Amino acid sequence: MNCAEFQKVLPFIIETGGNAEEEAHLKSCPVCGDLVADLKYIAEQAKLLVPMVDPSPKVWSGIQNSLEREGLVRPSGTGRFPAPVAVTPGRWGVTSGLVALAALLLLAFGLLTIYGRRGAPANQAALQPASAPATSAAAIDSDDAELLQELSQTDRPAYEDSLKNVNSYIADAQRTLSEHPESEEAREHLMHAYDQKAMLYRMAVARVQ
Amino acid sequence: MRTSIRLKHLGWAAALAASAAFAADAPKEFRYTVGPGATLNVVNESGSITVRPSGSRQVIITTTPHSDKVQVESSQTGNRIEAQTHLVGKPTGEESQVDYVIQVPADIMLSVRADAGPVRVEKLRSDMTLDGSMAAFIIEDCSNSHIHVHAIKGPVTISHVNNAHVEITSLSGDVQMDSVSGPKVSVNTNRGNIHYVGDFSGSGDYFFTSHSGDIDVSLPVTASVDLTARSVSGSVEQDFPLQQKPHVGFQATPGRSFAGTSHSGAASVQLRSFSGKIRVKKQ
Repeated sequence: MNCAEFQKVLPFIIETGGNAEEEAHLKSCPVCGDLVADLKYIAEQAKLLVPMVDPSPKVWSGIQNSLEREGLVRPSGTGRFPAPVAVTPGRWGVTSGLVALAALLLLAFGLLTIYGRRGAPANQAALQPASAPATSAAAIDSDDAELLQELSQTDRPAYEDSLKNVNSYIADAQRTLSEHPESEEAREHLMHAYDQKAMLYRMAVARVQ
Repeated sequence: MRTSIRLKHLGWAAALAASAAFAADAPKEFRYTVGPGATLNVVNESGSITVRPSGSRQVIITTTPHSDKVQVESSQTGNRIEAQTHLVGKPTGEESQVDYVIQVPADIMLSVRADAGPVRVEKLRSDMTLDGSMAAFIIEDCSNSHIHVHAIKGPVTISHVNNAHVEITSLSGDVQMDSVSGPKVSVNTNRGNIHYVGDFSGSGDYFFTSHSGDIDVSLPVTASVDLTARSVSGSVEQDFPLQQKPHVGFQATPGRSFAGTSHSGAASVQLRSFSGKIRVKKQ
């Protein structure tokens, strides 16, 4: 097993510990060992943030869905997140949820940065033109829809349009990365796409607060 | 008789309208004195903002509202100054505008949030964070600065900026850089095009990336660069004389990527697009 193969299944290894072959690679490879240690540390620190915000159950569900879609956690009835906290529905509840989501996007950005810095082999094969995808169709997900509902009618069109463009970028980069898991180039694009989305969320949250 | 009464009423109406218009457009000035390390935060819904040096430790904020449906509040707390536009009622686009002309110590830490601009910053040597959804940003003649721009639709134009840390994230707006140099210049766009004209002086790191936006770089033959350009599905073109590098961290593909150096390769220049065109040409 090489580093690229190991890092492809890394999210599952962090959850389950991995099989014998994966554990053997983890013991023999200092780069992957450091990466796993860092990810575990970030996950532990992220848990400490939980009491600081009090988002609605819908937000936790949205985060869980997002992580499952990104392949960072397995679809499961027993998620690693705390049980949803009952809150009174209201403007602040939704806003704090958006803040949590923005923080999560930043966390994903941080994880991708670590992947990008450490994960890829030094000598990258060029992406084959035949595999290059066309720009993905624009779409917004449920988290985006929730964010847009919080914005005024004046602001909404610009943010909606931008979210579609950013999601299209994320989809393109994800598709390329799934075809070429070793591609540092695709990983960099995914990182920049998430950076753009985090910026949009930060700016939108500033608008609604 | 009836005609004269009507004329008198019309006269009053005209006088009232004129005084209201005068009140709406009357500039309002705020003056403060600050020490080193002062911060200024400006939030304006719509209207132009111009920031330039005062040549002293004074901050002078001159605001011109376009109607009486907008008000400006400004205050100083210690070394921090806030200026914010508030809407009164539901003004239309034109009515919601306030124009700001701000004079500041050149080293002030500046934060501007403007939905519709333009925002112009001139001749500062400071940290600045500029956020805007539709606003155009123009930054000129700044040095020794940290410049952060977050733009959604508006264009960003930066010229004659040196020894700066520049980080720009722009989604749809184009980013135009003319003679911009520094230890770190980073631009990340989605659909926006990136144009750079200059010599990448200062041995810095330059990283330009886009999704579908094009990246155009124009540099003189005297530029000393270590340059890589890569596009996933867009094209890459160059007519700048570069020497092949013996070791490249990727397999170059004609038309999609190249890498090379010029002179000693002092500045690191990395150009990345997903589907946009990358062009590197000599001036």
